[in-house]
Amino acid sequence: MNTTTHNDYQAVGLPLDGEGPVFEKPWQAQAFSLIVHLHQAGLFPWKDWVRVFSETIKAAPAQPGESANDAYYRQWLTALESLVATLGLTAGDDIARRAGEWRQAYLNTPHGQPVRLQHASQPPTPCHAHGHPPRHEPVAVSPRLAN
Amino acid sequence: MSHIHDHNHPHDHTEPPEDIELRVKALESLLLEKGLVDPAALEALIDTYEHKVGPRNGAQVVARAWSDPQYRRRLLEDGTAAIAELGFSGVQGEDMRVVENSAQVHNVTVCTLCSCYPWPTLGLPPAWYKSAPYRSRIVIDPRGVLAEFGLTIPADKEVRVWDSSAELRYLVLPERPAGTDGWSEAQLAELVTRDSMIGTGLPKAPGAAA
Repeated sequence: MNTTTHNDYQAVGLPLDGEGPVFEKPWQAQAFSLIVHLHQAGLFPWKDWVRVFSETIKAAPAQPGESANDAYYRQWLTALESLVATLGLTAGDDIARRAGEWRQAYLNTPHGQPVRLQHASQPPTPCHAHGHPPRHEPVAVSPRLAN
Repeated sequence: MSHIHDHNHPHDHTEPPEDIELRVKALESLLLEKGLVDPAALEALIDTYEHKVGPRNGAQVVARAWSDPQYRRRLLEDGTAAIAELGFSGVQGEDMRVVENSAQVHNVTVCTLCSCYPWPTLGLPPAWYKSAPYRSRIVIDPRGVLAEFGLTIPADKEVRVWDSSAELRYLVLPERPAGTDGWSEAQLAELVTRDSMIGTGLPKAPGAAA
């Protein structure tokens, strides 16, 4: 990573191991990647992120029963939403509306198919649930070639 | 068979994830539409980091199986239950089956129709797993495709290709590397790579892991 270093991550208390950040769930890595990407695109200096993030941590402390990572990335996402709103990139209302559309897209997507945003208004035709029954034998075998 | 769906059937929808994950997806898709995010650059970043989420769960399963013969037996008999013992379950309730590599057999997994993948154990699928060429060619020419991954399967080994579906997902139990006698589960887990559990790679050699 060119524009952010481990020192930058220490400034925001990011959970780290020898190779870099650690995550418990995919969305945490996605939220982390978004802010790093926006920063690398030159939309704001990293010190602005450090400030917004530390304000958010103070305003929204960890809750009982929340894992350290869950609390950290909940605060991370809240700060991210606040920063993009401040920069005029996207408004909080838009995020809430879009999150609802994603929920509908999940509900409209047959189990096992990739979930796409357009499924919110246009459910896909089922492929897997009906056309791809579980297969308990190998779909292909390449036998041993020797002898 | 009728194609009118019974809406109580559990497989006719996908259970939405928790709210916070929906908000991340919302933000990402909005920023993409506004051209504020370069999809390729973002995907490369996410791929780097997501790789660190799931495969560790699968690596723990494999390391336990290498260390504990009774666990290994349970894992091969009922993958779903044995993986759940370690606290990992399919979020959509899918079944897991574990296929074991040996001196005689190498296993590799695919989803021929889309990209069904055991993500609670392996994280999100790599881009190539979702690609049409991998999905079709691994079935037609498994040895050739594996060679492209740098994995040459000896001629005296059989190659089996397993097709994951919505209800049943496969995980490969790779062979334990030689030279790891007396290693702890934590040490062994470090050798287990994502690709070794898909079957397109092997675990790291003990010397390479330090």
